[in-house]
Amino acid sequence: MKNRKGLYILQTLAGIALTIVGGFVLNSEEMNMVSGLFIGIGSACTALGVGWFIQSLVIPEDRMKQMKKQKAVELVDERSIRVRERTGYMTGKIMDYVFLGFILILGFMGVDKLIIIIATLLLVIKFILVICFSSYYFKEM
Amino acid sequence: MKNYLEQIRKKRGITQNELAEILKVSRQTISSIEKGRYNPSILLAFKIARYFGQTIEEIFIYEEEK
Repeated sequence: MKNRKGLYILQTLAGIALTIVGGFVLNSEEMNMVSGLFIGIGSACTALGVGWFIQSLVIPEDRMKQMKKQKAVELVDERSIRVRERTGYMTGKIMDYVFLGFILILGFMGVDKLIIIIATLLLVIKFILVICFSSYYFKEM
Repeated sequence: MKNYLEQIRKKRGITQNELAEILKVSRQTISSIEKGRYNPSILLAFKIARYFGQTIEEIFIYEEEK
């Protein structure tokens, strides 16, 4: 546990270092992209490191082990899998209508045709994926 | 699907948590099966039946849809 806490502290420090390097050392025009990447990764490392460190302080080790075990069971639990599948299906179904509405609004707003075509293409890609996966699972099951 | 799981489990004197741990499912799954809200897969139904040393028909009641 102590090792783990040390690891979180190290991760936080590395994140801070990356953010500082990205923000103050690599600040030339050519290094713009690299700097952004450093800041992004650094911020993520810092936030996760601090979060996990606080979690390791607040939650006792045995409770943590219990939670991990519970999580592992829930990951393969058939009811949870079915709940996840149904949730994904319903979300996808609703999002189709939301996206369709969004494309219509874009059309009424007089947005550039290229943007409308790209948005429509995303919907088309989604339907192609649905056909491909349906065909795959029909053969598989 | 109606079933006798709750009665059989209580007769054996085990909790939902213990049964869930044995069958490697969540406690909520056991609870939902007992209430008839969730129909288990054939695999889980076999596991339950085998654990209690009974047949699937002795635990689960199949009623034809009208």
